[in-house]
Amino acid sequence: MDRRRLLGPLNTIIPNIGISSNPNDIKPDTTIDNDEVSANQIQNFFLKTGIIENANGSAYLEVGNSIIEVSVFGPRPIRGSFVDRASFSVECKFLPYITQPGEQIYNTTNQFNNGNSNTNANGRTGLTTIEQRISAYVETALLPSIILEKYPKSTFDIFITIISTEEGVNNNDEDDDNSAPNEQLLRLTNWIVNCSSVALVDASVELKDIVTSGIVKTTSDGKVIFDPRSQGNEEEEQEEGSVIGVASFMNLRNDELVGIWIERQGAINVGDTEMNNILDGCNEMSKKIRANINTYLANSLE
Amino acid sequence: MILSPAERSYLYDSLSQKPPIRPGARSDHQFRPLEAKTSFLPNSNGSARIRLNDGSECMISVKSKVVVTKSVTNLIDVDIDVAGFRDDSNFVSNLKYNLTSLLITNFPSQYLKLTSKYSFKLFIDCIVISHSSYPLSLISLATYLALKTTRLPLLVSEVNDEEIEEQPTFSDDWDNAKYLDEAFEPPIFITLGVIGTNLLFDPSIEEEQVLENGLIVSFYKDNVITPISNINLATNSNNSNFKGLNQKLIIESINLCNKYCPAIIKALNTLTEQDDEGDDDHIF
Amino acid sequence: MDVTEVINITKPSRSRGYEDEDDDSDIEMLGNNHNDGEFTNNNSSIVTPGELITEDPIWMKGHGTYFIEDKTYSSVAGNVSRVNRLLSVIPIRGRYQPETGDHIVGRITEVGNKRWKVDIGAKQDAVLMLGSVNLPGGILRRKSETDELQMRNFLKEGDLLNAEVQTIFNNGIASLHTRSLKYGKLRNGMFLKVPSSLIIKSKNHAFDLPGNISCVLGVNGYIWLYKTNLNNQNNNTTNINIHNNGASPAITRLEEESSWEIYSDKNDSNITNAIRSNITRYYNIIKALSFCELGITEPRIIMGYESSLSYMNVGSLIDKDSMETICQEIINNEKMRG
Repeated sequence: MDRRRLLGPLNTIIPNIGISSNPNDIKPDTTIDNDEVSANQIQNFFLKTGIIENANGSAYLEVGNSIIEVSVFGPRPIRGSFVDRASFSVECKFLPYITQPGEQIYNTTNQFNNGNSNTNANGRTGLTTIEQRISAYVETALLPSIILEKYPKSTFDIFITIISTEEGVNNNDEDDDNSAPNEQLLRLTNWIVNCSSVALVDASVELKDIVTSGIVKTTSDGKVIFDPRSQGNEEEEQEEGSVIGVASFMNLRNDELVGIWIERQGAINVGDTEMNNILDGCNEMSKKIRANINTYLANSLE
Repeated sequence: MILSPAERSYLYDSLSQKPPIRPGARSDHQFRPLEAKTSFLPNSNGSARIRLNDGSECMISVKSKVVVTKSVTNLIDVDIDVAGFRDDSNFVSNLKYNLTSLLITNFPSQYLKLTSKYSFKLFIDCIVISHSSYPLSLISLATYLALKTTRLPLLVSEVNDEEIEEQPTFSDDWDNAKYLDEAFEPPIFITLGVIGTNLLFDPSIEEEQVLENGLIVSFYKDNVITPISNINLATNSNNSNFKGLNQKLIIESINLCNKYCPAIIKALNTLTEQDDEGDDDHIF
Repeated sequence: MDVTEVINITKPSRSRGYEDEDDDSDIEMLGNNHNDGEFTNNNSSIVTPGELITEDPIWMKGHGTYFIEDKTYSSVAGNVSRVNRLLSVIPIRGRYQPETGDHIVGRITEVGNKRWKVDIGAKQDAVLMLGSVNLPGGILRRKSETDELQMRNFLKEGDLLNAEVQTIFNNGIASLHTRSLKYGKLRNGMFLKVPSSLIIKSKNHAFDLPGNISCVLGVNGYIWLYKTNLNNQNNNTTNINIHNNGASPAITRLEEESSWEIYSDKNDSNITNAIRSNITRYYNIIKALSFCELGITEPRIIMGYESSLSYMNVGSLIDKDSMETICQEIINNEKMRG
């Protein structure tokens, strides 16, 4: 017995600490293969719904090192003026310790907010520019899927929380091309849409279809890469140029395209072939993810 | 803006015809007439003002600052202020993101490079004094005019200053200030409305209320480039027609932009040349 | 491909003055003709706030004036108007001021307790009482409790209607009524707004235009262009009922008044592309008249329509130059016809 320490009463129980609480033991998932075959497959992702008790619906998604959680609140009544269909809003927030992709460029700080891009001149916190952009994409993509007419005088609110992201590509070298964070941003947005759709299903909101999303990168030599992950050979692709696109679909309604966001890195023209490749690729990936989600939902109902 | 169900269905039916019958009888690739003026702000390196017939108006100012190239992440800073909207609102934030993304990806930084250590950094400030339809296209056309007529002071000290400690010096004579580059044509955004299988350029606010979707396409150096994204143009109102679009329409929109955007660039260039010639005092 | 086919960017310039500088006074002359000679003395001098108009106590002080003892001063910038014994100043620019008997076009903003609030472009929204509208079958009027939801079945937020100003309350709020078949919900057409000062008050504000189009020129500057309704021709005041699509003839006007059709949101199914094109043509004409600040009247619209027929592409009418050309032609035509 250690006399120097204050021990608790006799019937104390020591809690089980996790297997390893040593941060050095936690290594990023490096099981992603680098060879061509599996590089062209969609990453495995983990999905679970219903984890947030006080939300009407929720979903949690882990893919690679990204962790996303979505809560859906609604239908909630709106007091005041009569609206014949529900209104719908999306808010996406990164947890404070996360570096947002493209932060240096888009989340500007000025004299008013003490280096914190969330705060505005009044000292109130709001969303950063990147968070607003993601929120806008998700809102545009999910809006056509919800049957808003069935919920007059109500509102739906979707809250997205990013708990963890992939390691960002550092952009401290002065190349002309400041757009590499686009890939990370689009990839994140892709999975956010998928997770949000599942959260809507979990909330039993009446939907025309589940919106699923795919992301594809085409390089100047015609390669089409599904679910591109940063492999470390970024520089080569940047010099030649690549086009990255995320596209969201309602696959059961004739592959209706509900969201599209295309960016590029390097000098490459966006012509018909690149667009077709991207859209077809995203469609294919979206269908595969949809199949997976369907299986998950069917199993979770049993 | 709010429309009655009868108005909506009339407009929707008119716009769905082949060819679409727009309220002002514009063709599907016709923009509304614009009035523009450049280089009128005495304290800015570049300025432009663009106005639509319905009173929508946008003003751009371009100012510059000499910075140590290594110490900044980007050489272009964009700020947008829309009358009637909070600066941290989703509306303004997304306009700013789009414009920043467009300029950062498509601006050759060699135009701003002064010496091996120093460059110019551009601060582009935009005020949307009044707007009816989604103002992104208006803002980008005004930015084009402002950047095209921006003049930066002429460098008189050494270009190669690896060994030298002194800061760059410039000619005191403002007449020696030179344009960014004679051949420079900044990138622009085009807004398209999607309705049925029709694509409409520059939708007006009434048209935006009944559109099924909206597309934002960028154009630079005679080609469509990224960013390309879709958007619900009827902000601030419950657009009940909003739905998804067909993949083929996106390809078609790119083809349309490739076909008609050079005319827009040409018209903008013509205006900057006209402004060069006469210096009348009208900015109204 | 012509650049102007896609876009037209010009330098700003003052709009050219017209050869006839008395356009504004033209409008007032027309106003005189329509108001059966009530005017005794029409001195239209311009005064600014604070200017002394008269020291004569005999005048009644109307809108736009204030008085200290016997002296009457102007409180707005505008034209002095002397009508019989009423002295008032009409502001040059300002919101529409509702007056009893005005035929206006309005948009519902709110559904309230036994009334609707209507935006007519005045300083305050007008009210439309539930008792001032024609209700199908008259059922609801007998009920004492009327649900907000039931009112929405007739008129809801966003609906456009034309109505007449019945009274003006003390606080300046207008009260409207639609108790006539020529008033009610508007459909089959397009809406546009012009400054209210360009609409001249006349006996008739709804008329038919060539090309199967009809128009309602609200005194408040709100205008509705629509496909002519064959049953209800505006310029034809007879009550002959015309067969409608081969169905049995509309039985009596009373039945027509109390049918649910008058509150339908559905447009006619047979609006042809030609009619749609004509509506856009008139739309551009009226916009051109508004741009050049000419008073908008039926003859001018028709003259503009005829001039515009020489333009192959109706869409080219939106350019500044075309608008000015059309307006100049209209003025020239008027001068020629005397």
